[in-house]
Amino acid sequence: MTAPALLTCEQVTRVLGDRRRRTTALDGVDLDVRAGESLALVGRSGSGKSTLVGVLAALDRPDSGRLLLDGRDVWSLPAAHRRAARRRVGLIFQDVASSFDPRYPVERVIAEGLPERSAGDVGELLTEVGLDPTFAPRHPATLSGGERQRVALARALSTRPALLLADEPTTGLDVLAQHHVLDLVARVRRDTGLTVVFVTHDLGVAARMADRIAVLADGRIVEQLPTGDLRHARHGATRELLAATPRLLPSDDTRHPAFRRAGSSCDSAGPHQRGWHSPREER
Amino acid sequence: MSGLTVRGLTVDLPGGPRIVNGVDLDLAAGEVLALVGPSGAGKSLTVRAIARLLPPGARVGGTARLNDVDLLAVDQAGLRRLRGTALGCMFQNPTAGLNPTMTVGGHLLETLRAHHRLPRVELRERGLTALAGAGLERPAELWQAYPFQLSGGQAQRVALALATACHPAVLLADEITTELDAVTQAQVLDTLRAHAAAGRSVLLVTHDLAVAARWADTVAVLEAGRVTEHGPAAAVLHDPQAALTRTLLRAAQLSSAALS
Repeated sequence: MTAPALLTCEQVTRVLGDRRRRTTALDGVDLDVRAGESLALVGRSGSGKSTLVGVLAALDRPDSGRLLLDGRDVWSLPAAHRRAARRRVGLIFQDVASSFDPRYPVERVIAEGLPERSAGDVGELLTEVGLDPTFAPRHPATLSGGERQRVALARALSTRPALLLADEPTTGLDVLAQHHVLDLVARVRRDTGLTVVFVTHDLGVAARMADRIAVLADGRIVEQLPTGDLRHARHGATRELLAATPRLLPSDDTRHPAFRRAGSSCDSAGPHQRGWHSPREER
Repeated sequence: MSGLTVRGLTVDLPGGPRIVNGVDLDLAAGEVLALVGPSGAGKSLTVRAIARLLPPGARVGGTARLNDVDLLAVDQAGLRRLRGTALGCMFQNPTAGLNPTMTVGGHLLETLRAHHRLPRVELRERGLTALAGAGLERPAELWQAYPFQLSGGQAQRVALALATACHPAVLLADEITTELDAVTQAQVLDTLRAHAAAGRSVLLVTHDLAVAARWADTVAVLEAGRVTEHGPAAAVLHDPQAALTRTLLRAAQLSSAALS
């Protein structure tokens, strides 16, 4: 817990839109990402998650406040140094296919940022993300969603970043592909000591992947807590997410009242047998 | 009111393999049935076959009976009558199903006019009721809104209002909350649950077993175009018999366990 901060946001604000319609997407974000930790940034749609990803990746310049990487203010560095700093952060996104040039084979996608890399390195990176080196000449269109996300991870790891920034990387994947990608990120983190920031609206995924959770609401970090303390969350935004997230446990007390009305959460009889009326009967 | 009974449903796409290979489903009135399974298992094609929304050239076999009418056998005129009044459909991306140049109210009027010869005032009244029934606040304000002005959750609720405006007996919902955040997802699915409580049958396609656990009465697991398990949600999700169900559950349980 006392590890130095790898990445720091200091009072970051970001205002989006034009003169007519302005939205304060980030409204004074203070956040430390400590070296070696796995932090989940959670929040609802519109809470500012994606804007914060752009800022953390040093791609989007804050309107005020500072982004510090290894203690240096990224936006006061000369451009060349800032580009080098960006290589310290690997990125994976939700919509992977859109970040690939469809004409490039996998090997070129992975080696894109690093022209000096040899074919051997590409093979090594593919193996690292659980893909066979024979994937190298294939094109993105021939890959499944899970395979594409692995290629994206191989590309993100190709610069040997200190931090992996994962923006909803499993949203849209089916449950098995999602499980494999999450497992892979956890393994890479274990093996390399990579710092991970996981951005998600899924509290279940956040709890599985992160040591610590920061909750974003209306452009502010409203609560930060260790994953194990989630059930003691105090802020309304965290509690709202917690209550809305379905679970797979026999005694899920979050189920819809319609189930509880039936007297049991594990009732096998359908509600149609419980005397409810159809709208047609009411008319 | 009886529900939907699907027997031996098959779908062959032109030049492709048989994707749906003998699906049997039982969905009673007032029940939410979750159709779960990995990508490519045939979930969406099953729904589209029942809704008669398959691409041209697709061949469908089997029956899908609703009140003694085989949805797969009715002619185009019969189909037009059944759509909306017997069968409502919702899909993952709601804005794709909305006309960007038409207001929310315009969409509802168009749908209602197709089935009811009523004065405009009365159609509007029904449309507003449908919006409220989909959990939308201030329906009168929303009536004037264009699709681009809606949030993802609002757009999906408008889709729900359109699907339920003519009081269909069966609601087909294909991955309708995949693009929504957890809180909005819970709100939309609670609303769907309320429609089931009012006697409607809901076929909810999802790859999220926790969603099935929380919002469905029964679960059918689809694997390579066949139903490998079909029963009460509690039984299927807590004592799965099929190997695939166990694999899916193990994967999903990691997130659930981390939360408790």
